[in-house]
Amino acid sequence: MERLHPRVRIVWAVSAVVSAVVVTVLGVGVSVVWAEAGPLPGVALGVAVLVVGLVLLQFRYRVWRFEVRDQELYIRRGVFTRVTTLVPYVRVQHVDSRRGPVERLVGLGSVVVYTAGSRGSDVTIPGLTRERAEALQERLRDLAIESERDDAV
Amino acid sequence: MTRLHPLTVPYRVVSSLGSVVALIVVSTFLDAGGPDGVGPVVVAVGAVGVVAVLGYQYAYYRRFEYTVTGDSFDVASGVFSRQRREVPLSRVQNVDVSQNILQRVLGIAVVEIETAGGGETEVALRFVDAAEADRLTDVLQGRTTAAAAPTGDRGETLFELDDDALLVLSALSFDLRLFSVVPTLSAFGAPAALRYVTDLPVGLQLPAVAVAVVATVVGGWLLGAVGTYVRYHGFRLTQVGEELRYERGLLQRYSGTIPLEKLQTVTVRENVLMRQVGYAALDVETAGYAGRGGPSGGSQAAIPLATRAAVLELARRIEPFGEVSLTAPPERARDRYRRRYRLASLGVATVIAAVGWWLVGTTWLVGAVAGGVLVGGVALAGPGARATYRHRGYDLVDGYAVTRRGYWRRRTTVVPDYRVQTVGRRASIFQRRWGLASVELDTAGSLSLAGPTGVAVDLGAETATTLQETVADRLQAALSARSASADDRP
Repeated sequence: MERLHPRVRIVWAVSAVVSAVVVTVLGVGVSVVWAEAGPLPGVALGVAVLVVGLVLLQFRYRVWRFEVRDQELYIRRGVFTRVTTLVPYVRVQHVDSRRGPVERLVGLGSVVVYTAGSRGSDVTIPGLTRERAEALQERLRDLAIESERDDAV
Repeated sequence: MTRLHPLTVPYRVVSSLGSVVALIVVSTFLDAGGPDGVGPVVVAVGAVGVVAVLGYQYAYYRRFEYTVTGDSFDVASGVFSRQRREVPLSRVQNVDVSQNILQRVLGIAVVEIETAGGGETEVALRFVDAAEADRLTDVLQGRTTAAAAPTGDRGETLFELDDDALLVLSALSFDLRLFSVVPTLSAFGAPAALRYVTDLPVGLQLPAVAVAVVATVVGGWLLGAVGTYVRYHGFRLTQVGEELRYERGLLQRYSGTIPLEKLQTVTVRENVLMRQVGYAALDVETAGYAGRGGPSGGSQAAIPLATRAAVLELARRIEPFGEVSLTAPPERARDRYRRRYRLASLGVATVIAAVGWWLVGTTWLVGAVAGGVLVGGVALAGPGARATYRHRGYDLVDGYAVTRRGYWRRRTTVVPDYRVQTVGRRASIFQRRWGLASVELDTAGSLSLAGPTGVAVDLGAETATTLQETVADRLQAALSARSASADDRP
């Protein structure tokens, strides 16, 4: 089973920082204007969100696994709700690769696998090096074509 | 290329004149000069609006054309930006025809064509001649199936909803989801209502609350019953060749086709009242209405109400699954539900107490209601947990996976092995504490409004893992078998 690249934690940390900043701004606003209690409660809330976010991403990184099996893609994720998904290649509609701004900075990318299913119809594997993402996308596409037998719906 | 029905223009003009009327109303307010309320600005705005609507609708009609070529349905449309859409006939999932009263008088109909892609209806023809709608249904669906039915063949009637059954259905159709609006309503209405109640003499307070509750329940039930009666009047399901056709509706007529080849899952639905009298309903799913309810009413009802035996017979005719004997979740799941219900009643009682205290202060009424909810909830937690537990389970039979859940609305879903898209195993932090997990069999069917179907809830952790792998393996086996038999075909 494959793990994500360790640098994916940087990507997640950036988004944790962003949400902590948003919460801090809102919290300070509320605590100063509405509760008239000074900025401290808002800042405390923001720091708490940041700490929780940073701890969670560590767990998230530890839980994440995926595996390119013979007939299906296996994915395991989730800190609180543990979800494992089997995506049979024969059901793959198309495969995207994505690179957000932060991901590009640390040289990573994501692969998104789409099926025709009604829930969880897209599955994202983040934290892949550029080469790994390209190889995985190509491999999944080949496997999907190879396993094509019937129409997909 | 064929145009829409000429009556399209006047019909669409009249229905879009509503916005012109709104414009006129707005300009009446702007036009302070006219003492009689109808000044020159109103007349001008009205005239421009009417001309614009007329012109646009005429252009819409002139620029909307459709045609059936050898293997696709082509539509060219759009007044300002042009659109050309080609729908391969083999990809058509559902064709639905509807007519409201006025449209029935005028002899025109709406035709809607669904494919598996996208979240909305792919092609809507507003409006075509009623006979043309029938012809299109035949042409579009005849080609999606291997054995094309001859046009005009009305097929074999599989099910007809007679008047007695319709009345029973209407009476039983009390939508339990109505209760879900109660918290929202009470958030707005409760403060006023509570004050009104507390103004009454003490002896009348409880009777007043009781009368209000009864009136709400009876009113909701009546509304639901009338709605159901109108919706399902004259329901009929026929099989023509390799497809199902339904028709229904008292005022607004609906008809449509469901190709058997495109069916994803079949669900037997029984609410708690239906179970008491031995009735059930049958829902079928295609990939056409992804994320929405189908036009045959809510989800796609193949049978709105019939005896359980009749429903199972038709279900087996559509998907020949064998005898099912469901495996229940492990018994610790029941303990989990009991604890969950106790905690929930504690939570509800706390909220009631807090809200009541905030609104009317510490009165005996608030205390009595909160205490009653707590005691009642804890007392009912045991029976409730048993009920939830008893109506959950799964089974793997030859070629199909069967899952069941729901006490109030029990749904037994039959998922063909070869329709599975992805297989998920999900264990929340609470489930993991009890060593439980759920398995989700995802298909391309629409996600029904009543919640996800095809979920085996709260299996043992090991069982869930095994089931997940087994279903994935059975998918591969089923696909191999299907392609082998397809190769055998001449």
